[in-house]
Amino acid sequence: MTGDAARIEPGQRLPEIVKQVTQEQVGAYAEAAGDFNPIHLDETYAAGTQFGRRIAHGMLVLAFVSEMMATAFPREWPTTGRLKVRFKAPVFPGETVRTTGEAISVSGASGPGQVIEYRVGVLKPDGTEAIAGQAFVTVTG
Amino acid sequence: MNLGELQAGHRFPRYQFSFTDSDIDAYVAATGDLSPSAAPGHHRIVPPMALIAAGLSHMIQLLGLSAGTVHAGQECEFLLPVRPGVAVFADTELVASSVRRGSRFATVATQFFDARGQKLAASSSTVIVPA
Repeated sequence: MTGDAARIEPGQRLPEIVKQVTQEQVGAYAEAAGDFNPIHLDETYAAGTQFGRRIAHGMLVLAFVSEMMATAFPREWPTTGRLKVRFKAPVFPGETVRTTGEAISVSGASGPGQVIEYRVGVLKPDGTEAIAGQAFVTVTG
Repeated sequence: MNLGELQAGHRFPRYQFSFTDSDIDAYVAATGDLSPSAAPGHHRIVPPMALIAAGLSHMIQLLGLSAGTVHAGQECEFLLPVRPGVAVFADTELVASSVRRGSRFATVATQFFDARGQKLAASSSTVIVPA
């Protein structure tokens, strides 16, 4: 499915994105984003935290949701996109996660100005929600 | 700067940054972002979440947040695409800060503008900091 809002109805799902998060990727993200919190990078430090081991940056995992939305709505997402999420569980390096996106409401008539609300999230391998929330895009024509 | 000494409503100094193509390359490589607008070329834009991440990282460094800081919630609004090389100006405010169950919960809101004052994006990040 693409961003053809004329055909979007509640219940329709966005193509999921599946990614394995590696420690190398976490290190690369720390460099790219400038976030060197040792909870992501230092195995010894992370062992003493509530998580017991290193975790991926929440913003790295959230980037997968943004990628899903930007792929479905390449024009609308960077200019009308809104996102509101909670980080509910950590993602550990080595885990494979997948994004979810389901339209839950479509407001107004088809065409420009129509707002589509999605329930979005990221699921861990056991189905636990790592991220959960809502995303909105407005049809621009 | 000590987060515990700041009151809600505190405004941080405006800061400026921009993304080079190399910055975007590094972000895209790290996230594996395959969305079309992130691909190299003259239509390329900064991945929207990279802008938000840059603002958050700046705040983490500015506040010297302790090592165990955890990201609890995030809100974003994207209004205009950001091209490589474009100057971005960020205004950040501490929206809330309180201690609960031995941890500090803080929310910072950032608005991003271009040089003409057009709003590019907005962000609100809630973090949990060991008290």
